[in-house]
Amino acid sequence: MIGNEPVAAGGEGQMAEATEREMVLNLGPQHPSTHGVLRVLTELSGETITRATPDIGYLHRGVEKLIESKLYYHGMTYTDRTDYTSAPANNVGYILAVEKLLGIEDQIPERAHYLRMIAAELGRISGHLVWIGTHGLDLGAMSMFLYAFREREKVSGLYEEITGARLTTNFFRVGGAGRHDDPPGWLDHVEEFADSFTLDDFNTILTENELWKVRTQGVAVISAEDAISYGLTGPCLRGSGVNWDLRKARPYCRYDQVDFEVPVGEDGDVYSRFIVRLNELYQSTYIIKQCVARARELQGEPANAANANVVPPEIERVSGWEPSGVTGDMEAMINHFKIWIEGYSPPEGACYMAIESPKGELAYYFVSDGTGIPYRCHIRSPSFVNLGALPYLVEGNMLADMVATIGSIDIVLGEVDR
Amino acid sequence: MIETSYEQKYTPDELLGKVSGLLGSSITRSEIYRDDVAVEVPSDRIFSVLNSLKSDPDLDMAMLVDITSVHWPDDELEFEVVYHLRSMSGNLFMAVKTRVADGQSVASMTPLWKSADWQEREVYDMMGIPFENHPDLRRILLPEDYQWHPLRKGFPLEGPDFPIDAHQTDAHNKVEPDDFWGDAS
Repeated sequence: MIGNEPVAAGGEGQMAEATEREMVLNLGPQHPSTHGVLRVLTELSGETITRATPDIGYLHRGVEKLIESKLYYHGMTYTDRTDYTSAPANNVGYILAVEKLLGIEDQIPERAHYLRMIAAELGRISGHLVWIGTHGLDLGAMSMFLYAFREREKVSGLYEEITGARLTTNFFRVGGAGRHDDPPGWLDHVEEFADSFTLDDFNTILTENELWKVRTQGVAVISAEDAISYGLTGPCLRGSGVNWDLRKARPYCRYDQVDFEVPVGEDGDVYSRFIVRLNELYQSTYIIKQCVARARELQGEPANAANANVVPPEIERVSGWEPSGVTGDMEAMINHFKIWIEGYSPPEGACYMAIESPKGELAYYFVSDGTGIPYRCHIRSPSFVNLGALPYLVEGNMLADMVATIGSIDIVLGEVDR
Repeated sequence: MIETSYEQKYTPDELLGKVSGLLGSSITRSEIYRDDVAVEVPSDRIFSVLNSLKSDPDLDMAMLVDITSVHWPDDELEFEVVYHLRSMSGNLFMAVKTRVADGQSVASMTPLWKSADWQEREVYDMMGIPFENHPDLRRILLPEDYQWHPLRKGFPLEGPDFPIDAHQTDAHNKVEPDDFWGDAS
C-alpha cells in the first residue's frame, strides 16, 4: 500500500473508498490467455503481481491410473491426449519406454527409427506453431495466429496421410512403425513441406518487431541456476543459456546419426525462449530433410522388428487375402490372438526413458511386475514441472507480463494435468 | 553460464561404483537395469544422501528431474519414493529410491531443489505420502476435499465415490420429473 491509509470500518457511513491498492484477481480457468484450463490466483498491488498461485487439475483424467489398468499397447492411445499439440512426439516417448523395458531397442529396424524421427520432428513443428500462434495472439499480434495455423494445417495433413488422424495420431507401435507404413508419396510430401517451410513470416512479424521486443525482452527472467533448480527443461532451460538437449545427451532413435544444432539463448527472458523455439523450428526441418533422405534409401526394408512376441503378424497371414492369393495360416492367427488379447510381458524391473519433447524432458517411468499390464506408469511431464516456476517468474512483474510469461513457458494443460 | 557436456563421464558401472563409494553404508540395495543406475537408501537418510549427491563435485547431480512413487501393498514398507537425478556437467543419470510405511513421512527436498515443491505435492496427492518440512503441502491435481489417493493399488479405477445407484434402473425410476425439477415447474 502506497500513501493511503485504509478507511476504518464503519467510519461515518463512508463506503470503503478505492484506496485499497491490493486486490486478488482470479485469472482463468476459462481465460484464453491461460492456454487451457489453468487458474492463477493473482495477488496484485496496483498492477504489480505480489504473489501468484497457480491452481491446476481441471483437466485431470488420471492417465497414469488408466495406463496401469490396461495392456501396454492400450496405454499409447492416452499419450496422444496428454500433449495434444504434438501427439507423435508423445507416442515415440511411450513406445521407446516400453521397448526399453522389454529390452528390444536393438531389434528395431533402421527405417522405423527414421520414420519415428520424422514424426517426432513434425510433432515439434506442430507444437511450436501452436505455441507461436497463441503466444502472438496473447500479446496482440493477431495475424501471427493465422500464419502459424496455415503452416500447422500442412503438418496436420501429413499426419492424416499416414495415420488417418489429424490430432490424436496414435502413430507407430511397439517394435517398429506399425502396420501403417508410409503411403506412397508421403516422404515426398514431407520433403516438400520441409523445403517450403520458412521462418520469414515469423521473423518479419515478430523477431524484428519493436513492440514485440518491448513486451518480451527483460520480462520473466530466470537465471541458469534457478532454471536448473526449478527443473526446467527444453526451450525454457536453453533460453537461460544452458546447452542441454536430450537428443544430443542421450540420443534415442537415430539422433546421433543426423546433424543439427542446439539453439541456446542468453538472457533467460521471454524473448530468449521465443528465439530458441524459432530456431528449433528451423533445426527440425533440417533434421526432417536428412531423415527423409535416409528413409528413401531404406525404402522397401522392413519397418517392424522380427519379433513375434511383440509385433503381430500381417493381417493377410491371419485371415487370408484373396486378391493376392494369400491364405491365412493357423500359427499366425494364434500369434495375432495372443498379442492382442494378452499383450506382451516385460520382465520384472523398472526403467525411465526420457525424450526431448517440444516442451522439454518427457519421460515415462515404468515398473513391470512381469505381467502384461504395467504395474506403475509415471509420466514426467515437462509442462507440469515447467509451470512450477510460474510463481517465481511473474512475482514482481506487471499483470500484463503474466500473459507473456505463461505463453513463453509453453504449457499444454492436457500434459500438466494428465 | 552453466557448463554442460554431452560426453558421459562415467559408464553405469563406474557411476554405481562412484555412488557406492560416496554413500557407503547408506545404500541398502543397488542395481543397474537397462543401463539405469538405481540405489535404495533408508528413508531417514534420504535428505543427506541426495544432498551429498548434489554437492559432490564429481557427480554434480544438479537437477532433480522427477519424483514419483510406487505402491507395493504386500510389503511392510508399502510406499517407494523414487527420485531421478541428472547431472548436466557429466551427463549422468540415476535413480534414488526409498521405502516408507503408510503414514510415515519423507523429508522434503524443497530446501535443495525448487522443483521438488510441485512434484512432492503430486506424490502426496496421488499416493498420500506426506513430506516433512514442505512449505505448502496441499493437493495439486485433485480437488482439496477429495478423500482418497487414487494411485494406491486398492483404489478402484472408476473411483470409490462413483454413484453406483445411478446405474441401477430402480434408482432412475424413483426420480419423478417433478422431483427432478423441484419448484421450478
